[in-house]
Amino acid sequence: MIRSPLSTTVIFHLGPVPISDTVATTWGLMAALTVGAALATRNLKTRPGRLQAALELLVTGVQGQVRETLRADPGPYIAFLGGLFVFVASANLLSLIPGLEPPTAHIETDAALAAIVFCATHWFGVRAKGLGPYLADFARPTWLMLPLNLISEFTRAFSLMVRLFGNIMSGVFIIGVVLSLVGLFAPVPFMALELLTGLIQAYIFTVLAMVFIGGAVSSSRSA
Amino acid sequence: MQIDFWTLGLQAANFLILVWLLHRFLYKPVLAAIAARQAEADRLTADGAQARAAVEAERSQLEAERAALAKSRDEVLAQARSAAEAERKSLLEKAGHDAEALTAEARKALAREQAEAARTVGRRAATLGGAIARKLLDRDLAEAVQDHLVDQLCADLEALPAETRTQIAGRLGEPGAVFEVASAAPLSAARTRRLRERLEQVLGVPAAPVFRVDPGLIAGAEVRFPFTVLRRTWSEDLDRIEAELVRDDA
Repeated sequence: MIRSPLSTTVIFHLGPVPISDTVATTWGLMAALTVGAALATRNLKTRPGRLQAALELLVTGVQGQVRETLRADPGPYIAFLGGLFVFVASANLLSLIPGLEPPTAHIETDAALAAIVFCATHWFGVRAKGLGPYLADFARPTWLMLPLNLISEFTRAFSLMVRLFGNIMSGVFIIGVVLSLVGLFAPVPFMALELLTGLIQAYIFTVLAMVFIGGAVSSSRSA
Repeated sequence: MQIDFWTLGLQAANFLILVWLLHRFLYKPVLAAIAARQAEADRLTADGAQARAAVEAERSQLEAERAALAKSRDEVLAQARSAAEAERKSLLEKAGHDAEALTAEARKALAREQAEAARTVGRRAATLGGAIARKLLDRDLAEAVQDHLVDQLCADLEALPAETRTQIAGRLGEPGAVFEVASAAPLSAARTRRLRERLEQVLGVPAAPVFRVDPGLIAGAEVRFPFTVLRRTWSEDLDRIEAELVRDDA
């Protein structure tokens, strides 16, 4: 039986707080990522091995992408944007593990990520320009643009959320439907497609977050 | 559709915690490793640049030394060339002097040889001339001048200094003293008598010379005293002329 992707299942309560399977899955993912990162980086050398080279490729790739998109030093943004990409990509790829649902296939996770990107965009903008100049940018090029700019801030965060949720949820849903209708190995092509989709969506989510932050920290509101 | 805000809030917190954890355990160590490698690379690059600078400096020094060596070599070569040129000039000059000396010596030797040859030729010519003259003077001509030459011999006797005549006269009295009158042709009795009278008159003592004929005298006569000979002959004249010719050639 296929469960509704818009519903959450509470598996236990931590005091008054209900802990859903999405949160539990996320904790497991966090633990795996943290332990894996700690193990992978505990013995870094000047001459890197394959794993270290892959990690450095990931980090330098994110650095290069941030530098090209923001036209600024990637240092202050690498942790947030890199963490965003790693989390979204790894969460999306959980659909390939039987019995696990990706946290990003639930709208609460995508909404949380979109809200964090929304807040981070304004926080980086205010930190780069100051509160007054940053707020004044919303009224440029004319005061008539102020409502549109304010609305666009919310709509683009909303679109960010919906885009990720729709792509990942639909993929998981299709795999579930095919699996229930055809058989054990029939969803493999769809899973491969989901692998590609998950990576692409993680990339798109991260790049859009970069673009939003870049628009906030730049002198004009081009984003 | 409903949104679980507990889940939303927990997911937001989870993400923020994950960001911190990844920053702590992934990005920070990896960035540190990259920075360390970059620093190592920079250090190696700096070392390489320093080593290259040192090599460049050493190369420059070697270039300078090579240039100095080349300059020194050129100077040595120039000195050697000038020394060789001076030596060549000296040798040429010495060779020229030697050649001139040899030429002068050769010329002198040639002149000496030529002079010697001329003298030899002159002596031979004089001898030959004397021989030719002796052959050309025939007996008739000698007879014709015989009396004249005897007269001249008598005049020579009279022209002798008195002291000489006294000494001759004194020596004639010694035993074994030579006193001869040689003539190219036999003298006539009258001329023999007149010659004896002239001798006695000049010497002041009785004169009894031995008269001899000597065809080698060609013409004329000579008186042989103990320590001197008084000659008036063509043979003696030819010998004198020949001797003068030879002396003039010398």
